[in-house]
Amino acid sequence: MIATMAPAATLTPHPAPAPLPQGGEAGAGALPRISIVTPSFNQGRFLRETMQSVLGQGYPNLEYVVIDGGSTDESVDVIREHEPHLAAWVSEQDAGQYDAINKGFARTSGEVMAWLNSDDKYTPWALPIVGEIFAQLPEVQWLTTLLPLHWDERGLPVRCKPVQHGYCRRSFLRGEYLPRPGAGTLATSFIQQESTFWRSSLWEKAGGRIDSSLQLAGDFELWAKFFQHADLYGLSLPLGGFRMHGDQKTAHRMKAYVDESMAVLARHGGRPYTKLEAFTRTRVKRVLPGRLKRALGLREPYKVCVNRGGRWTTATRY
Amino acid sequence: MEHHVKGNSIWPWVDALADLHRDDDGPAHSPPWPKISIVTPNFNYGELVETTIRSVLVQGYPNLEYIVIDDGSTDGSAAAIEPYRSRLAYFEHQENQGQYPAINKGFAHATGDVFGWINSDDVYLPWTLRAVGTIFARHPEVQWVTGHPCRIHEGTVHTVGRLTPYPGELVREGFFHGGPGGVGWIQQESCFWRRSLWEKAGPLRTELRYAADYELWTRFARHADLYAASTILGGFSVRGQQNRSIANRGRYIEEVNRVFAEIGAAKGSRQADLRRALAAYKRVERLPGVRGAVRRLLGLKRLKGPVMKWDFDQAMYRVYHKSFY
Repeated sequence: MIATMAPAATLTPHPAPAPLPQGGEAGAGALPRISIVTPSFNQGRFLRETMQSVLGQGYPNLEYVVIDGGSTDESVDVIREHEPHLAAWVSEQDAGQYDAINKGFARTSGEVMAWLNSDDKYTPWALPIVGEIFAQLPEVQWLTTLLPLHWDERGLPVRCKPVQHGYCRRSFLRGEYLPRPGAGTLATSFIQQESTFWRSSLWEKAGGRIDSSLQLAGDFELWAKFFQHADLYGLSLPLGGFRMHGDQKTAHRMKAYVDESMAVLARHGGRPYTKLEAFTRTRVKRVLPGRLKRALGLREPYKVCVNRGGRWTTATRY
Repeated sequence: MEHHVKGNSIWPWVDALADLHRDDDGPAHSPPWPKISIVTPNFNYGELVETTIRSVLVQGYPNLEYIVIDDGSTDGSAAAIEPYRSRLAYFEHQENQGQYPAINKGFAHATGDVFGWINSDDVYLPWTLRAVGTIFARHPEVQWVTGHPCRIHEGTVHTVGRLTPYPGELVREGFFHGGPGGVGWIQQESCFWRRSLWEKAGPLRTELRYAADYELWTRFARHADLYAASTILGGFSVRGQQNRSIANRGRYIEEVNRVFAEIGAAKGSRQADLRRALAAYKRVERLPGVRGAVRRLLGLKRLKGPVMKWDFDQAMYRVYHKSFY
């Protein structure tokens, strides 16, 4: 727990949270160690909120690493402020965001992994929920949210567009998770990196690093490799969000991201829908009743984690 | 329904968003925060009420007026509220009169620009009050706002629903309720409105015991449209549902039907028209291509309500008028 976290100035008294039980229920096992890496470069004005969204969860088995690329703003001061709670941090020049993430993960030992960019933020319950799921469900190798959030510049949620169905490998290879002109309602949602967590065993199988030659779509390339080994589980619970702020030039960057991702997809044997295919599929899907769509293979099965009476289980949905 | 891992580890017990408490958000991003008055009625919710109170106070909203009316609790509620007394703008322990009279009394003491109430077994989210304050500060046309419908369990958001518009006519004529024949309900936990609207249309009708919020919305809708904003403001709690709605569902429906019939009997009611319009749409909604021009050809009535969606490029909410179906 960090001392700066309690809003002592705004609320007295502040009951201390009870210590967390370390698992212990039948089959639950201890909470897995979660390793989070934050690559940072000159985003000091958001970094404190980002770091507190990780450290402030009170997750008892957290390993948090911050890799700064030699920021010249207040970033390093913010990191120093939180130093006692970090497993490691450096501030030195690096070869970009993905290089920093690779450097970070080289220093972690946790069973569950994720990275959080220095302007993004988790929801306050993300780590306890993720830890609980990975502890209870050995079949889950990686998971993401079906309720991706977007934060505004001030950290308030401003968009939550539920994912239409879920995520599966076949649809991934057909480019359904790359919203782009021409794909219409077939492709409406990305796999949100801020809300995706995976096991270190999957990370090792997928090569244990992000392709740092990519400028923007390193996450997409990682998903392509993950899908070769394991199903992605969806979770109907917001875990994190992407912060929209003025520095990003959304539309322009979005196009660059999608272009790079399409190239990655081609390298991994993907075959995105052509405009004609997307058009006909969308129309046909709108007309047919659900059961027929399923019989014709127009609706792919996808995996979800659901909470039944306090226990997590997995299910397949269409 | 026990989450053995979480317990006291999440909102509002662990304060993950402490950074939001800084008041130096920068002049460019600080609207003058409108004064928000929140009322919590409590009757024998013991330690649950503490969670509710914390979820309001821990947000550190800079211009909050928080009012708690204890409705004659005989359990440990007093002890649970006591540590927070100094942070409350008003607290009263009254004779047991019921939930709705307690809320009315709370608002009678409220002096804020924006009102909302939260029952003592529900929680707000860490960002609720700032999100509400921002919307009302930046959008003078908005009198009454809600977010995505969603469920909250153990301080965690679950299953966020789609953002649906609330056409004024349908709300006014009483179609938004959770009983049979309703088209969905307006989630009280995530509704906030301006004081002026409350002065025109309030207070709650206290002879109702289960559906007074439903009845209040029908009167609000005579004066202002309900805006649905693409954010999450509050949630329907599973525990709250178990405490109240399910146990009393029969009586809730009875009251809804009574109010609905009252509205229908009033002069100039358009319930029959609307019922026909909804039924006509139901018949053709599965057909492909029934939109726009075809819908007009078929003579289907268009029911629209305002929806506020975040525009990523402009970094502000934009208002759209969305079709209900």
